[in-house]
Amino acid sequence: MPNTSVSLIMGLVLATLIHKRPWWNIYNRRRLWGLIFVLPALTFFALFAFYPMANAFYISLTEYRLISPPVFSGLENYAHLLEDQRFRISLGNTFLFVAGSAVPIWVISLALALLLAGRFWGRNFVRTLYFVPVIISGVVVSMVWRVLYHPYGPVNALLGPLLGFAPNWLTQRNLAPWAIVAMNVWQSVGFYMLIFIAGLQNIPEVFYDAAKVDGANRRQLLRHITLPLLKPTTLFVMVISLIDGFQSFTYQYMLTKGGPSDATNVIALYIYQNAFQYLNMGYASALSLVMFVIIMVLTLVQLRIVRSEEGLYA
Amino acid sequence: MRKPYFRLMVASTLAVLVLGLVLVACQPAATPTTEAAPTDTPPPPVKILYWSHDFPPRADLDREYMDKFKADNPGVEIEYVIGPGNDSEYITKLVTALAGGEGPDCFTLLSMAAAPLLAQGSVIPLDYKLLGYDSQEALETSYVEGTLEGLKYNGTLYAIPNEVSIYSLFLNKKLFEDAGLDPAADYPKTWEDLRPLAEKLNLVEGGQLKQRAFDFTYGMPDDITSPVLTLAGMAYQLGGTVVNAEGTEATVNTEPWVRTFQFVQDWVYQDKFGDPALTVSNIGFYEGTVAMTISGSWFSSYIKDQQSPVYDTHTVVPLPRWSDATNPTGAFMYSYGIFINAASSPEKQQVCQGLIKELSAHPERYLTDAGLLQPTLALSQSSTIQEVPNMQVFLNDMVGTPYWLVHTETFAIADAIGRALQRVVTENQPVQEALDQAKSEIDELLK
Repeated sequence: MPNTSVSLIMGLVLATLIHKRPWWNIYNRRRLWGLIFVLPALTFFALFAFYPMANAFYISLTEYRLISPPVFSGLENYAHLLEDQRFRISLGNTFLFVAGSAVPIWVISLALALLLAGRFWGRNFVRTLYFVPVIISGVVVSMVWRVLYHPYGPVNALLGPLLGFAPNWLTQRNLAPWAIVAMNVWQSVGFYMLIFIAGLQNIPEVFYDAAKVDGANRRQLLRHITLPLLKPTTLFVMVISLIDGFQSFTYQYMLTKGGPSDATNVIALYIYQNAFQYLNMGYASALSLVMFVIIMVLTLVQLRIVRSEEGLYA
Repeated sequence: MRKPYFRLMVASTLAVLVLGLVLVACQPAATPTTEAAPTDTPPPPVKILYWSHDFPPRADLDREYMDKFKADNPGVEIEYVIGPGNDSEYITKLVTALAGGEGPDCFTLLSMAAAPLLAQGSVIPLDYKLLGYDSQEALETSYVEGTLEGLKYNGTLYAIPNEVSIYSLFLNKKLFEDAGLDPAADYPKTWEDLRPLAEKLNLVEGGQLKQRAFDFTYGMPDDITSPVLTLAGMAYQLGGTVVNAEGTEATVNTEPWVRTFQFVQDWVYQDKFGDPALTVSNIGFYEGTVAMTISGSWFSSYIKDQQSPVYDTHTVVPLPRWSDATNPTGAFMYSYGIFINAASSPEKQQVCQGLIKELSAHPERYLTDAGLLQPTLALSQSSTIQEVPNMQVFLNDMVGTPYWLVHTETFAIADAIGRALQRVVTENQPVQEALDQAKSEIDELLK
């Protein structure tokens, strides 16, 4: 902890020095106090976010088998990453999972929110019903869905007669990824539905009243009032659901262990396998940083797109 | 955004990054902590931490002999911790604890998981003198030949096994009798024998395979028996190995492996006798829907623990051999050894050695009460082994059978073979293609 204090003081001095005006200037004093007030939060982030990230970056430059001290190996792990076929497969699977999950989650949760935002008898019960899967642990959900997906289980009992055969949902390479996507959508829509409902409730009723006076129909209300004013909520849902998708681990670990033959192996699971099964912590850290960069870039792109569109309505 | 605020933000971010880097630079080196120098005062009681993988039938025995050891050694305390359910979780927890300097003083560990620890000097060699032997050779000759090989590294023995395991064929006598078969005479002696038995024992109702004569394990999440050990054993029967003699190149795409994998693929796709999508074979066995399954001696206790009625009707027969096998051996062996943490103090290490001596001195009880085989020569020649049902079968299957590879990339190698198996049985990928890919993946690991 002494190191932390010294670093914080250094940071404050640095902050003051960069600013060229005398530190006793009233504006700067105010800023300095502001900085002091955010220091606890900054310290928290430094300890639990920046430090682990910096450490992960350092470890990614080493050959680190977990038990013995890390040995510096430069960019070797990153070079290996480019040649690693399993990395490419797991990256592809991750994108498939994210893309496959995200769009249905956005559409279904928004549709549910629009349906359940209005006033009707039993509204709270129905909302709760949709939200229940969210509060169940991913492990439990996986166990339940494994039973549902059993070749002789309920899903095939329903779909088998329609399809004319009983698919092996979790052991067929072309089906297993989609089986997990379906499960993820089922568990996630309740959460995003709630976010959308909160967003809908923040839209002032007067906008709708004014539009109705102008003769707008329901479709026009949705197109010109609801959707534009839901943009901040939509942005939040998009960012969070994508990040959540990229971090997916539990379903794949519990249902298929990444199989059959890596068909459902996603980046997070591949990182885990390298770190704790193959004890290749250096490579696992390199994978983690690549994953971080991917999520960061995608989030920035999303923010950029949505904000540029916001300008159209300004 | 106004410029001064921007500068202040840049400054704050820099400060936080500086802090992060300072913390990274100041982190303690991951070296074992050194113990305080001995003083003239009487030594305090020695407390050791002992971790064990989870196998309920064994825990009570462990506790009993730990209590005895404590009674014989006043001042010794033992904290006995049983790890999480499956091997993978236990190994993760153990290795993480060892890396963080919080590992146990002594611990059980799967032989194939030990190689990285052995290679990095994280465990100490076994002190055969403390165990009452003049040499390592003397200790080795007190065990059935070859059964300690998986616990050695570069010729040095690092652990005593608290269980040596090999897979044989479990058989449900009732299902055999229901099909008009005599389990004592009609059990499969060769892999080829499985096909006619499947014709008689498989039951298909409404297009669904309701009862299977036999099924392999395919490395599915519920599997408790590794398919790779079986497949490696099958290939070895035909003269196949995992890597070449120098350990520099994988040999998993050679003819014995191709024939083995082809047999499994045909079992699923051509004959339709088995299916990786169905309830895994071991579970199907104790549920009474699979007549034969491959597993280790511990599986009997496991079935008993599940309170399955199959416990009363099961028996074990030798693992089938190929009709033209060159090596009449079983599935690859593995064991759980008791290892000692190199980072523990010498006092604790000595207590661990003593405890290992105590725990390894009762192979009969571990066999009769927990179904675990500690294959001392004395036990193999005793009447006890004859009295415990099926144990002689496992012991016979061990003769001449090798251990699974002791290698730092052992799990990655096994995974590569496991993935090839899954491609073969879930995608119907041509066997040679799947094994060529596995070879290329393993070669990469061996570099």
